[in-house]
Amino acid sequence: MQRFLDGLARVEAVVLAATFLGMVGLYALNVAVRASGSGFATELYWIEEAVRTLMIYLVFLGCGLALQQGRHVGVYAWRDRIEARTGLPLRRLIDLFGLLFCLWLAWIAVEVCQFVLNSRQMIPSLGVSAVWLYVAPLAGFVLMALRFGASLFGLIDRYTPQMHEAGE
Amino acid sequence: MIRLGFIAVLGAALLVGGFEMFLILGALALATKQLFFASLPDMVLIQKAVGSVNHSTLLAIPFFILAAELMGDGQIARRLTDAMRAFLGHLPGGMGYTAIGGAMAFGSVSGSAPATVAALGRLVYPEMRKEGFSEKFTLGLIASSAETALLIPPSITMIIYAWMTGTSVAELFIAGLAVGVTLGLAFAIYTWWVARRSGVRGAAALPWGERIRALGRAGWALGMPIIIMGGIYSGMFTPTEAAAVSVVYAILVEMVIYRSMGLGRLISVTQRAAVSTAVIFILLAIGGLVSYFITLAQVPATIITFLNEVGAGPVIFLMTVNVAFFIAGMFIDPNSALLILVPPLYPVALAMGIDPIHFGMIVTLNITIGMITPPFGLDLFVASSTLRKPVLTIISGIWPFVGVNIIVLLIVTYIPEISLFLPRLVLG
Amino acid sequence: DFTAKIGHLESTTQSRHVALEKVAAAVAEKTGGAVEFQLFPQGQLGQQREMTEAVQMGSLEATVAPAAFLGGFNPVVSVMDIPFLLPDDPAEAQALRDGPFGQQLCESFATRGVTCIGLWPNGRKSFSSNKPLDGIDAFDGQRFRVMDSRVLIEQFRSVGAAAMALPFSELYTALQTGVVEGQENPLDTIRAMKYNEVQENLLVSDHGAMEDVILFNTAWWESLPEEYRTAIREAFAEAVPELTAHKAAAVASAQADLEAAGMNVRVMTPEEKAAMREVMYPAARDAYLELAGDEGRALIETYEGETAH
Ligand code: NA
Ligand code: NA
Repeated sequence: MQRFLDGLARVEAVVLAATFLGMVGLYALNVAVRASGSGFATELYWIEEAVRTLMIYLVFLGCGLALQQGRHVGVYAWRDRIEARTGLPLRRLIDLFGLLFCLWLAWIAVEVCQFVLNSRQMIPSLGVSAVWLYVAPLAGFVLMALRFGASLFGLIDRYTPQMHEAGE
Repeated sequence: MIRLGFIAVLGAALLVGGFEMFLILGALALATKQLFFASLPDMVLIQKAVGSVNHSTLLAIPFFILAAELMGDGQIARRLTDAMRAFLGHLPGGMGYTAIGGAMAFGSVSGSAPATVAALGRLVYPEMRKEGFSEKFTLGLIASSAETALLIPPSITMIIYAWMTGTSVAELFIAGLAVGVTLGLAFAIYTWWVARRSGVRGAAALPWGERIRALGRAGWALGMPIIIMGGIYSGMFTPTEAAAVSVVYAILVEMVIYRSMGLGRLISVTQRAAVSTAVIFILLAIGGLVSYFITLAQVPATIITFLNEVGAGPVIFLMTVNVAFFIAGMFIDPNSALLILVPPLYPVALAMGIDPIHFGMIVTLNITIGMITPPFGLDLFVASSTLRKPVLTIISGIWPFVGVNIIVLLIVTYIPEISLFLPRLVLG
Repeated sequence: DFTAKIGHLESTTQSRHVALEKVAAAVAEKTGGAVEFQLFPQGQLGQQREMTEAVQMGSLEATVAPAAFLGGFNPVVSVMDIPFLLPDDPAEAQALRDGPFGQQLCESFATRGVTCIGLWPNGRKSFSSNKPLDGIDAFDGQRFRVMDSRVLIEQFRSVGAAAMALPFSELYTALQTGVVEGQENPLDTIRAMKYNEVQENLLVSDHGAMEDVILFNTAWWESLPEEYRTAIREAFAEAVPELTAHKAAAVASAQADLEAAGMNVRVMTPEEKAAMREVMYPAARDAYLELAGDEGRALIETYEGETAH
């Protein structure tokens, strides 16, 4: 399991970097072709939509890794004090809530995907099904649920880097 | 009323309990939906979350984040600071002005205050301490002068504001230049006063040849703001395209010209920027849900009715806005405050005849203050982790700067001309 | 008893919203208050794609959407992107909307999970540019901004112009800075967006129809008693004359304002329009046929049958 999680994080990192640099490349290509005055610029009408769609993937695929690295924002200063003083297992509660919440959202994302497939909605300039917009949150919430679950069962430590981020 | 109270208590409890902010916003959105709009299908949650970020205005944000990470990790930030120091270092307290000028220069290529703290903190902290500034003052100045990055274009906060209100990014950017310079000057005046009182000295003045050489070494770095602003206002490209171009430029300068970065480094920096993007955008996505419910509940109309009944005019309204942002900014992260407060307040501001650009400057200044007010101040945390100082030490030095920031806020709030004269001059 | 949230993109002073307010009042009156319309203008509930999708899903009961934004949901509706499709005469155009062409178009939505109860006229597009627009030849080599539509790209390509797909939100800056030289929009939009500040020449061509499609969530629509459905249909139909008049007034005052603001305004003659139609219509129609399949072919046959004299 540990090896699976490590490998997953590495794959995510590479996919994210490739997606991001791809977005930059496409946008820069658009500017360059237009600046050159080439008539080919007309053929690049799909780039804006494509980059916007890639951005949605960047966002949702990055959320799981952000969780593992303790990078999500929150107010963490009081949590451990409360935990120490009252014995309330706050970290476990957060992991449990996050796990259930993300699984539920992933389930809704499945519903949305089915719905959009049935409705045959397209992204016109890309000529692909609009379902691709909703595969991103589906994947994102599954990846986050995986991290909340792994943290709940002690397979990863997502709280230590978080404390570092918060500077305590 | 009971239901609203429940939602408020739930939010406060999760906040104090240290839940991730996106979980808190998600829980609030879910509770609002179940309590007030139970008949809506659950699918609306995913549909609105994606719709909220599927927006061309927002595209500039990941690009500016990536450009900032590249320049902070490579040589550009260092060379900009060195050039500032060559010109300002000999003044009494010169490293203080260098810190402010460096933040403003880096701010003119970066849209994010935390990125600015991270890029400059390590460069200027030891030098300021050597010069005789106290630890508290130094930490406070580093954390707060980075705020100018949010005002001097490009600015991520202004792009988000433009996305929420439909205001022009180009007009906001040009207005932010004047307000950002005002804030930088205010910090410089305070630094001058502290330096004089505590007898801080400057370094030896550099000969002009050295200065020109330092400027020359920063030449490629200084090309960036020229490309960004020049490109936007001369018609080479749109603000979003400028952001993408700035990434290409940063990659070229760092990898090819300075040779400060290899492919492996590029990928790890890009991955870090991707995660930073995800962290902000998941808030925009789920915050978009919250503002969707605020719209459905027709909250702005309620606020307008209330203000009319009380007989409040723009002066009192704007004061209320500032207080609301200050309190929210203490406890939640500034982007979340933006997402929660702007949708209900903006229509009211319009109804009161307040200029959208002016209101945008007020909002952005409030966001900068939220970045440095404890207990939740994003820049305080970033300064703490990059400089390895306890957050409490930084907080103890931050208060005078919060005060300076508030004075500038009041001036900008009640003198709209500061925000509006540059857009009129440049864009007619 | 029945409440419908209706979302759309226009601001509260524009024709569509003004007409929708009339419809809401008429529906309340005709149904004795049993059916309430809540209007959410200015994209408060999201962009058009989101709103249309929300109507399919049932989180929004209705939307009044420009046909140009619906191509992803129903390629058949892109027929409205074809230039010089509707006759200049308002009565003739309305006859097309009410006749077999309009009905066939509306019915094409039935298999897309929404119920179209009618088309609304919302003005016509004209050309503006920083380069001269003296005749068809003048378009050659100019760069125009379009929405990302194959049909519109072909419309410009047929006269030798290049079409760039840019988001509406970036159009003002793009015109100001010269990223593109020209654009096409209704005159009142040109005034509202202050494009006169960044455009020199206006060619009043009325070449492109801005048709609104009135879409309801099918489940909600079918939950209504028949008499209420009739009342709603009537209310929308009865608002058309006033809508057309409001739009005409807005366009006329916009043209006067744009002229007063220093734009070089020229109105196209009928002969010129006929000549331009001959170049643009076939090219755009062929692009449309390619993307709209058999349903599109059938619709074009209906259209060309109805308009053949
Ligand atoms: Na900046
Ligand atoms: Na704060």
